[in-house]
Amino acid sequence: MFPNTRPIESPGATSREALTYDPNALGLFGISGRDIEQASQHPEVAARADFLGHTTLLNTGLFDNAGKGAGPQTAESKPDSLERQHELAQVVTLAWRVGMRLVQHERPEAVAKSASGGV
Amino acid sequence: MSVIQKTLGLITGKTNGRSSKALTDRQLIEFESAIGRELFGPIPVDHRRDFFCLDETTWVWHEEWRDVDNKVKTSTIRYEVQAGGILKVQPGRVYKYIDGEELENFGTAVRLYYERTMREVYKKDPYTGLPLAEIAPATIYS
Repeated sequence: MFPNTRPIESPGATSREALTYDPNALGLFGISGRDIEQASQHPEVAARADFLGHTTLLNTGLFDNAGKGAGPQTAESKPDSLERQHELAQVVTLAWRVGMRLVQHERPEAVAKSASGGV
Repeated sequence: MSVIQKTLGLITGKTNGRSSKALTDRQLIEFESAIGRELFGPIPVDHRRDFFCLDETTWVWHEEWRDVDNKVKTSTIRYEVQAGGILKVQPGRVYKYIDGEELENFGTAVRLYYERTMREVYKKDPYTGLPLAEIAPATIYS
């Protein structure tokens, strides 16, 4: 069942994909934590943010250490610890952005291509 | 009707009176789920598993198997993305915000799901959104 089933990180990953799982490398959308800090100034990062259409989220810094989970809760960790809040916000934002991306952009586009003979 | 179609019908309340767009959306979800079910390693014999993004705020885990009496058993778990957390909805009106290892695993699964579906279903670079065919190899691996 899901709670005890850990995803396998990189089955057959390419070198580029493998980089994704290094917290010091680029995160989900090619934006590292350091990039996020400079999102409003860096033209390339700003362009990516525009592409995603959620510029304000990128400026929250929620994707710091992208790809590195905070780890399982330990007996010492407090339920409302800053680390856990950060982990929670990171996962919520990630799931929301992926859902938005797939449902509002990729699926309609694929449907349109399919209707016109593509995909 | 496949398991995923039944699951989608149960969750969305929509049955066979669908538009052609809805059918195609479902096909896309089936393609995505074919990847989603692989993210957690080997599936036990006689088990059927689906994991997919249903809509902007809903992720579904579905597992189906046969018990010792050869009766079909199913379990469908919905993960709802809310501002305050990921709400896990299980059969029997069991609700819980996930945390700890389950939260970490969910986040990892979503990330892998996105990266693989973008590449394998939509044929796009998950980082840039550009079609894979339009990206020079030197760009991909630089």
